[in-house]
Parts: sequence; C-alpha cells; structure tokens
Amino acid sequence: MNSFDVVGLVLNDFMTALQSSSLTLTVALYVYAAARGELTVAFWVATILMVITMLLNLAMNTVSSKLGEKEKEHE
Amino acid sequence: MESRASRRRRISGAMLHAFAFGSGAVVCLVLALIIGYIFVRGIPGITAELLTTQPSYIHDTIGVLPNILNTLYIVLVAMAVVIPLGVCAAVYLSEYATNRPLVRLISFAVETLTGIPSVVFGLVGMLFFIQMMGFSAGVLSGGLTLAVMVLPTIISNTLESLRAVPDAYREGALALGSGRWHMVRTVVLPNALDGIATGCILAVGRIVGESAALLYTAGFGIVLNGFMTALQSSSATLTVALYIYATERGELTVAFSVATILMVITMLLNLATHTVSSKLGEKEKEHE
Repeated sequence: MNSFDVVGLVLNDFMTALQSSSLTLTVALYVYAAARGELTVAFWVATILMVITMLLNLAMNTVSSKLGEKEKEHE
Repeated sequence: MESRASRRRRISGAMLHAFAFGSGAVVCLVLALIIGYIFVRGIPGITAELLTTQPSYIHDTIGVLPNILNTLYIVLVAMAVVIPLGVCAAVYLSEYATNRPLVRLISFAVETLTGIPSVVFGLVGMLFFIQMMGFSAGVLSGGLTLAVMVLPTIISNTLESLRAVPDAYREGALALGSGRWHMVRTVVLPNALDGIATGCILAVGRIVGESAALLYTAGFGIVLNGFMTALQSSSATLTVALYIYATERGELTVAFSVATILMVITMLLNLATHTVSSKLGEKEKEHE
C-alpha cells in the first residue's frame, strides 16, 4: 500500500470504492493545496469544479425553462 | 361491491401515504439521532473552563474562548462588507438596471457563485488576499473570503424580497413626486426588510458553519487575541477548532463539545430567522 492508497487517490470501481478511502474533487483540492503544496494541480481541480458548477447551473436553467414552457402549454 | 380497480387504487393510495409518512419519520429520526448523539457526547465536556479559557500547556487547560471570539470577529468582518455590497447590488439589479442581457448575465453569475464549493473560495481567497494583497492568514482574509462566498445569498434574498414589493407602491411614490432613490429608500427597502434580514441571518449561519474556506485563509491559531490583532493573526474559528481537535489532536471529547456549541448556535440562528420573518410579516399585515 503506497501513500496514494492511504489518502484515497487511487482509481477504484464502484464496488471497491464503497469500502475504500475515496477522495472527491473537493477533498482532492484540499489535499493538493494544503497537504502537498501542489497549487497548480489544485487550481486545475478548482477549474473542473467551476465547469461542473456552471454546467449544472445551465442544466437547471434549461430544465426549469422547458418545464415552464410545458406548464404554459397546459394552461 | 367494491370493484377490483377501485380496491387497487385504495391500496396504492394507502401504500403511498405510508411511504410518505415513513420518509418523514426517517428524516425526523435521523435528525433526532444526530442532535441527540452530539448532545450526549458533547454536553458533559462543556464547562465554564472550556468556555472561558484558551488552550495552555503550562496550565494544562483546553479552552475554546479564542475560537468563539474568532468566529464572532469573522462574522463581523464578513457582514460589514457583504451587507452594503449585497443590498446595493440587489437594489441596482431590481430598481435601476435596464439592460436585460446584463441583468441576466449578473443573475447567472450570482447563481453560479452560489453553487461553487467553499474550498474553491478558500483557494482563491488564499491566492488573492494572502499572496497577491499581502495580508496575513487571519480574520481579515477569512472574513473577506467569506464575504465573497455569502454575497450571492444576500443578493438573491434581497432581490427576491425587492421583487415582491408591489409595483403600485413604487408608482404611488413616484406619482407623489418622489425621486427614484427617495422611493427606494423610503418605500421599497422598508417593505423588503424581512427578506433582507432573513438573508443576513442565513448568511451568518453559513459563516458560522464554514470550515473549508477558512482552513486556507484564517489559519489554525488558537491563541486569545483582541480584534485588531486577530485581523492579521492566524485565528481558528469554532469549525476549524473542531477539525483540529478531532483529526490532529485526537481530542474527541473537546471536538464533541465544540460541535454542541455549534449546534446550539445553529438552532438559535434558525429560531431567529423564523422569529424575524414572522414578526416582520405581522408588521406588514398591520400596514396593509
């Protein structure tokens, strides 16, 4: 077992990950920025998180406007 | 005699009712278990010494007074920055902005900011306030970072309550010869006060409960400091202290006591939100 296994930076399938140390993107950001001092990687992770947030926001707006249109059609 | 279709409908209705009731009961049970577990493990550790002293190896004491004060300082700094900024931005968007695409763009930015994980705010706060501006990790950097983080909460709450003010109020004020700013100050803002106050209390709740952003920007210091010293000194809030005691020092009893204090603060803030919104709601009804 190496240091990557301990902090959960290893690629696992779903069933293994259920019971193994598994970092999410936000925790990986913390590990890279605070514990390892790898600020460049931390900012890459932050960028991925930002893109995910924006896509989710966009999806939310699209879904709500589509559903709003359908509601109007029903009225 | 009851037909098969109506019997099936009755059974499925009863099953759905039971499922909905069960879901509600599970939520209440989980909440009661969490609160109960934290209180049972935390309350025995809450002593006058814990609440009124600072950690000292010489006197062999563990106290969370510095963390309570640091939390208070950060709330003060963040709210002092975010309330004027957030309310003015919302007033601009609601009352002055005429460029629709710009308003939509700002609204999209505000919504996106709401969804960004707090650890990203911490990273950006560390880069901007500490590395670029040259501040030390402390209450000032932490407070400013949290101000940016809760800005969308204040803007969206204020915006909602400003939009809820009937247009007839605005038209009436303008018809009586009031200027736009006078109308906003004397008619619109007083009527939107409940939403603004609720947004502020929610923001305070988020600041009190925040840890990830503060790990980078406010530091881990658990020494008792005055406000001016704490601004530029490493100052751990209650949530950061909980993290330190639970993971780095292995003092789980103290960690549970800190968690109990945080739970009580959260419940009090929640109560305050309800009280303020109901009181202001009553006042509004009296005016109508």
